[in-house]
Amino acid sequence: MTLLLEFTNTFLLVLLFENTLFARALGIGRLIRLIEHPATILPFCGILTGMTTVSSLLAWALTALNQWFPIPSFGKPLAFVGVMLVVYALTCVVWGSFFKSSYNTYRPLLSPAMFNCTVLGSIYIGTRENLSAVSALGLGLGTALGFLLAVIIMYYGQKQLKKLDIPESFRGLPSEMIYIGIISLAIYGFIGSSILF
Amino acid sequence: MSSRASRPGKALHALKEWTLELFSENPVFIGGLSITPVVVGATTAANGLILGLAAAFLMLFLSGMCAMGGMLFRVPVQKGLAAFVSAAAFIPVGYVVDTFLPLQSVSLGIYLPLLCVSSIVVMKVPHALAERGYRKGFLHIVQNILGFFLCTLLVGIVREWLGAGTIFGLPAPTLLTVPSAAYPYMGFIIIGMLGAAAKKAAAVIRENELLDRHEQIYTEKWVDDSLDMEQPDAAEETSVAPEGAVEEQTDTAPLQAEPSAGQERPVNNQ
Repeated sequence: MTLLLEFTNTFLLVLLFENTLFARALGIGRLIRLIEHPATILPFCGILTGMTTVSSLLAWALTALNQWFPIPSFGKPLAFVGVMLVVYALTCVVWGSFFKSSYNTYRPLLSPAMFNCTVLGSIYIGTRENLSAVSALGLGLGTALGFLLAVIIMYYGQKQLKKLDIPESFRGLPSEMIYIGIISLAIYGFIGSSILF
Repeated sequence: MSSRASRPGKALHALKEWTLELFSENPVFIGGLSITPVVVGATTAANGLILGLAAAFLMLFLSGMCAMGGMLFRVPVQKGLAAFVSAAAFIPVGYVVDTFLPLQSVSLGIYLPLLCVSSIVVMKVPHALAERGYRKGFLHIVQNILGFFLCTLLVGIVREWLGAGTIFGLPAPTLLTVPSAAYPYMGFIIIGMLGAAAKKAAAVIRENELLDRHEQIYTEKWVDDSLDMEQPDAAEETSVAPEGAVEEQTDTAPLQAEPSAGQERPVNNQ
């Protein structure tokens, strides 16, 4: 029961109040590209969910080893990217071996879904907060599903923005940035300034 | 006519275009690359400077490795390899920032290391070299480095000025301060505003360049037409019909004695 509460607490916190995108701005560039190709949203977010979850668990294991093999702060990106490479390679091998047709279809989405600020950011957050394995699992799942939630909000928001008579200079990325900023402001109205970067 | 005009100014025009693209094709304001570290990390001018310099180092290192690695960076795992190489290049960057700039290191948090996997580093660098070749690709990478650097510095200066009324810690005149300028939501809004300003500025400059170019083409055509009109003798001899040549030869003798009348003839004929 305690484990379930711990998982749910971390999951909901990262999904809603410390949303990957609106609160921490992780993965903005990828979101901008995804909403222009809506057919790739669900497959990309599905792959991202797997990547963040497994990476968070492996990073938790790496942090547990940190007690015996301390990693300096400037060496952590190399260690974490190494973890991401291992997960990527394993995914390619396992998926390519057992589900070849779907692997060939979604292979172009694999490397963008793995090597991005969302995955590395979630690893950093998990290791810094000294989470347990269950909380790390909740963090990974919550990060990816929070990203999916943000993509859906932005997709429908962009459709509405295109209908408005926006000045030429503000069309496209500038108006989308202001839109994201206003939603982020609303979320900060709930949480205040308690997020640590 | 056009080749005579473009030869001396060709290099200058190319440089002007390249400089204009820093704004009209800015990787952050227009391309939407690597917005994450700018939104959360570039809260002060010093942070913006550090982010810009760190990204420049990572991109130059990666472009050198890509040039040496060649085909290795064209395989499907190029993003992963690029991220690994840039994470290795981050070690001296992280060491210098942690050791000599501890305040900025805490302020930047996880967003300085996130440059290792940001799209401007792992996506732009290998693609530029693969698609454009080494020389043009390197120039394109330098353009992106300068564009990103300008963006982070500008956003950092604006947010520090708005938030604390200072620039690089020095007091700057301001009417009011907005302490929430350091939060991510203000980062999004400021980037949106600056992006719109960059688009508008680039559009105005291009429009003026186009007007100048039309004026230049019109002026050159007028000059060329005037030059053609200043060679009347050759025009007279070639324009006289052979059948009437014998008769007119007797007529031209007095015309040659009176050059002013002969000079007027081609004008009247035209």
